[in-house]
Amino acid sequence: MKKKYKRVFSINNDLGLRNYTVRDIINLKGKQKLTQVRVTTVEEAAAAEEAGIDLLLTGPGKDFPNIRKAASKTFMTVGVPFIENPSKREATKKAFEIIEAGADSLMCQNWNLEWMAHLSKFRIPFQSHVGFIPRRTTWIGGIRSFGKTANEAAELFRDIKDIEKTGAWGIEVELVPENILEVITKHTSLVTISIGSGIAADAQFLFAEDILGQSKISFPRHAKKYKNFDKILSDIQKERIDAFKKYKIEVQKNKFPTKKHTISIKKIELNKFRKFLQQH
Amino acid sequence: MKNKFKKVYSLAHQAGYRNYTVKDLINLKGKKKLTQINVVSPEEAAAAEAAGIDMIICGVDKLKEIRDAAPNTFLTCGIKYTEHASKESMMKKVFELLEVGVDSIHTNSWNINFIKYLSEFNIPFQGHVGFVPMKSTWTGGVKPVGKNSAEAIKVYHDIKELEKIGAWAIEVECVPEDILKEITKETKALTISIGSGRYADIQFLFGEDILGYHFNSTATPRHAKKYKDFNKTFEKLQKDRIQAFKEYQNDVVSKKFPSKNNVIFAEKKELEKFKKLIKKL
Repeated sequence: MKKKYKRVFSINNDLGLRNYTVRDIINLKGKQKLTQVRVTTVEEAAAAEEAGIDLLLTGPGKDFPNIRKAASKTFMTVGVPFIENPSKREATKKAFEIIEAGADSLMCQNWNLEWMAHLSKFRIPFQSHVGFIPRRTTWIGGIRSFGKTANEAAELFRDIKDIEKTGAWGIEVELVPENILEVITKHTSLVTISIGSGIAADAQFLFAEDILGQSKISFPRHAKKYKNFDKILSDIQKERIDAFKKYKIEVQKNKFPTKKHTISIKKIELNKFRKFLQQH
Repeated sequence: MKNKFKKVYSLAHQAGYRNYTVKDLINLKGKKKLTQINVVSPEEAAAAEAAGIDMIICGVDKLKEIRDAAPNTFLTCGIKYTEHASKESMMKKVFELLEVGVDSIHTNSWNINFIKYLSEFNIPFQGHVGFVPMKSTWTGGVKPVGKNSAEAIKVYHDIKELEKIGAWAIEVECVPEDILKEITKETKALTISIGSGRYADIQFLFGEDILGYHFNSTATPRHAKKYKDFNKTFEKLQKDRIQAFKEYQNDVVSKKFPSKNNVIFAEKKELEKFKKLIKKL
């Protein structure tokens, strides 16, 4: 899968290469299915870029600069936590910090709509999140799909329209019926990004850990596992233990280190040193 | 390999279980060969504990995860001297580490007066002599230290000074085996060899050297022994990741994912009602 990259300026004015600008993504709505993967490690980011994944999503943690470097040419969206930034000013400041670190777009999940409109005034690309939103599930009665009735679907539609008006480019839509998102996708200018919301969305979104089969919780219905990393990693851990055990046993049996692992000294120097010790 | 853990209080007064107290280690000098491994991840820490490695050592970065992954193994933590310009600042950091549950501090490259200050708190610490990477400009670069009697005497004095301050152990790096053999008999501190031969009280290696992966250099250092080829293991793992993501990309582009089992549907009646509703919006 050969990727053509284009020359771009990032939002922080760095000259570089990318697979897409936000304009390209908007222009592809309805024309080409895109993929987005949430990555949490350098290895996942590098693998996603090499595999030709279209869009990446990640967090603003201390690994972010390395994740950015590991997938420097892939359009990357970074979450801006709302809890730690409880005012428009602080949220914007944090957004700027993340942009300086090289994000192409921000994820304004759980944000106040007014702050999102404010961010738009800076012409900063961002996406948001509707449907099942983990932190807001108390409002819908817990962990369940959203939009199975006409009224709920209409509420969802209004949410999307509100976000569209703030100036977002994309919207993650989680656990919404496929036939509802199909209708909505045709009625919004936003790029719809499905996680568990069916095939009609403009983009498909999954967590890298689900694709790799590395989930610590039970495997979600909406995801597909392409590898069994739980098993692979547990085999690697067995190898680690085996290596450390062998090392310990060899030390105890005086099999490690051997002569070739050590440094020698000339007899004359050693004897001088021994004489010195005798005098102390 | 069954491990017996004993009930202990940590230096921050947390009750827990450990394989050794510092007293146990001191009592084992000259009686039992011990092992220490430098670990950089919770996976390596957990593997070391499962393998019965006697001691682990790590940096500040992932300390909490490492402590949690190997809660019962004697853990030493190193603090970079360049991050603390005063002994008070250094002690503040030490106290933070104690709260996380470390059993001993590594005073690699510290100001000797900071080490003395640390010892006033009766906190167990190990020092570092011989080839000390951060101070190697004084010893002529990356090479053994102590190959002539003058250098060996300097190593001896360094060890005696740390012993006097109260170090329970001293890492001795790339010093001739015969020299460390003599010194080990002359000091109460436990000697920890990395590249300094068979006669030290403790053998020390980096987890990455034992496992055979290297981020910064390609070769296994001469003093180390590689028990696995993790460079290859990690390469294979990354190939698996790339393959998984490629298959996902292809599935989406060719509309094979998501399939019916991955999705939810609204009933026909509700869908029609919704279509009417949005016309009014």
